[in-house]
Amino acid sequence: MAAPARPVGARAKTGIPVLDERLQGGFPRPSTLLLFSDKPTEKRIFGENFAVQGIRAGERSLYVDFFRAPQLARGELKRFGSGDLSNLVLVDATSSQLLLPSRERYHIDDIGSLENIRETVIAAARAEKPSRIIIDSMEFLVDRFPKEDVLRLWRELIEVARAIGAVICFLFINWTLEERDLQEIRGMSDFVVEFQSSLRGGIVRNSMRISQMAEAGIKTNWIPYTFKDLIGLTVYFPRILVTGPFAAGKSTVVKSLSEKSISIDRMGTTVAFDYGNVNITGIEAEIFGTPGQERFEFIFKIFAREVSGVLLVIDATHPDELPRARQMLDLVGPRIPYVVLANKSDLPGALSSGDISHRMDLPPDVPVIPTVATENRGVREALLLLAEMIIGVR
Amino acid sequence: MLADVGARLQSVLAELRRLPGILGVTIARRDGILIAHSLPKTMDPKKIAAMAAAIVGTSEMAAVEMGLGSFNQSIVDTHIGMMMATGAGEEAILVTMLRNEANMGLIHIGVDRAVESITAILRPEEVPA
Amino acid sequence: MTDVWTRIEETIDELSHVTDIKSCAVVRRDGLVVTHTLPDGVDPKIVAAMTAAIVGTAEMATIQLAQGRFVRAIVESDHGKLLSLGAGEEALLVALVYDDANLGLVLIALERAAKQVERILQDGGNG
Repeated sequence: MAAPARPVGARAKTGIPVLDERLQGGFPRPSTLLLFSDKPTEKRIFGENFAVQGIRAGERSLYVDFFRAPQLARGELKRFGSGDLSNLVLVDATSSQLLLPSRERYHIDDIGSLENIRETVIAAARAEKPSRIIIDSMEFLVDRFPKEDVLRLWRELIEVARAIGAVICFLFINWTLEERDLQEIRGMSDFVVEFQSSLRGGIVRNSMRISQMAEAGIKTNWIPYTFKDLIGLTVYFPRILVTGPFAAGKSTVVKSLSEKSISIDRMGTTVAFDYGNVNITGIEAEIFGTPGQERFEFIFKIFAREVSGVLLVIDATHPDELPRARQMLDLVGPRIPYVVLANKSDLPGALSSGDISHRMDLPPDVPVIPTVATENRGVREALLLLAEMIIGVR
Repeated sequence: MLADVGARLQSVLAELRRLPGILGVTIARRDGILIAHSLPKTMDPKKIAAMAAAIVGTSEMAAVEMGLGSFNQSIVDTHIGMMMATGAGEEAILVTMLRNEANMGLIHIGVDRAVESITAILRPEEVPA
Repeated sequence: MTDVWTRIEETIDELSHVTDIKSCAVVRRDGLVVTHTLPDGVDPKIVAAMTAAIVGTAEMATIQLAQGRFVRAIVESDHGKLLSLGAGEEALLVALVYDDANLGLVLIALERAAKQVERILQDGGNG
């Protein structure tokens, strides 16, 4: 018998602080999420992550799985960590198909009957009163039953979730429905989470985008993510470039952000690059520092590719170098989000952020953060700000 | 399809790694991102990928500047072995670490074969008509 | 310092006359040119910066892989090879050799020249 669920907070967290902040704590209760893609991608991971985050927060999650046997589903959920999953309630849809007795309290005995499916899921929701419900996945029903019947059930499940104050998450791949039907389904949802995957040069990149259906609602950019064993979904930036004039403090910035970085430098100057891996508050990033000297600009041809964002480091006591900083930004390329770090801001004569912004004629939405990289002051904040800009939550 | 590329690359690496004297192998994208590896736990694959990209990318540009013709490979000699890095198609680099005692003839054959396989695996798929 | 520079120049000049060596250079490890016999049309500043980047990275790779001591870096191309090795704490010796070079002899000459340059620079510092 599962432990009674603790009283829940008003919002359902995703477990990714950057996102949860933008969502003002998480998805509101009640609400309806549509997890959507055109091709098989990893939206299940988001659904599972959502279920697990709920349990971690002391909530109860109801997971309706049409594809996997409960033992398999529970086994795969272990990837998220070894925590107690007794507050995970599974609706078993496969045992009957395999002609096996079910070990779950809630089991669909006749997978050919939409009515049986409906009854079982609604009974589970009403009895268990979960704060999160995940339906994995709606195309299973769309493939087997008349469209109108499925849409009717869809609406009914939304109502049931609303009545118990839950966030309900529908996974859906569209094979057969027309745009008109998709519009309707989107219209029934409060948030749509889209997924895409690409393979470039042997590397898979996954990203998701969250849109709130309400007018003037939240809309993020495509957010690159990855899955970290025993942790869960993490925002992932394959490359944050740290650049700026010679001796601004780029290598120090890379070192202060990473646990085990490398810096290839000689006689006081970086001759190739710096590299470190950063992990902070639900974000992972690969950080690359460039040299500042002009003679090493060829390095940009190698490393200034697939750049998620730039930390532009300047020495706040050397305003004469601001043009060089701008030049280096141009070497990276246009339209890449960046944050300016006014480093050595503790030294006498350091310009203020406002001064620097003015002198560089920066657009008003480009943050200038005073930092003291040698003391790890301001650097993390700058990275988090950059992350928010990339995600599009600023 | 996506998982398949990974598995195929791993089997190319596994085969290469079997040659005596080979300490580890890595496939890096030319911009320094790690694609695949078969390395001992003591080696950080992402760092190797970044360093190999820096060496190969710079070497290619140097070869052009110095009028040396097409770049073939970069070798880092150490007192116990060497690191060889060579292009494997447009997008990738193959990095091989070996001991001095390795049989260079065999190694070259193995590396050439691996490069061919990797190039084929990473070739952009042709869109069916 | 002029004396140091002349002596290095002489070493490089001599090295350039070794069979199979096309041209060579001494560069600082931070990518600046000291002296060279590179042909016109090859920018010594670019050679210096690129070889500094290559050797710096190669040395880091050697450390990261716990592969002992860095010895040299070789770039192999269709029409020749670029060899780089350390010449003391602050300098590198760089040579362009023909594709069909007898590497054994070339490496011996390079190592000897590198040690010479290292000594000259040390003496120069103490002078």
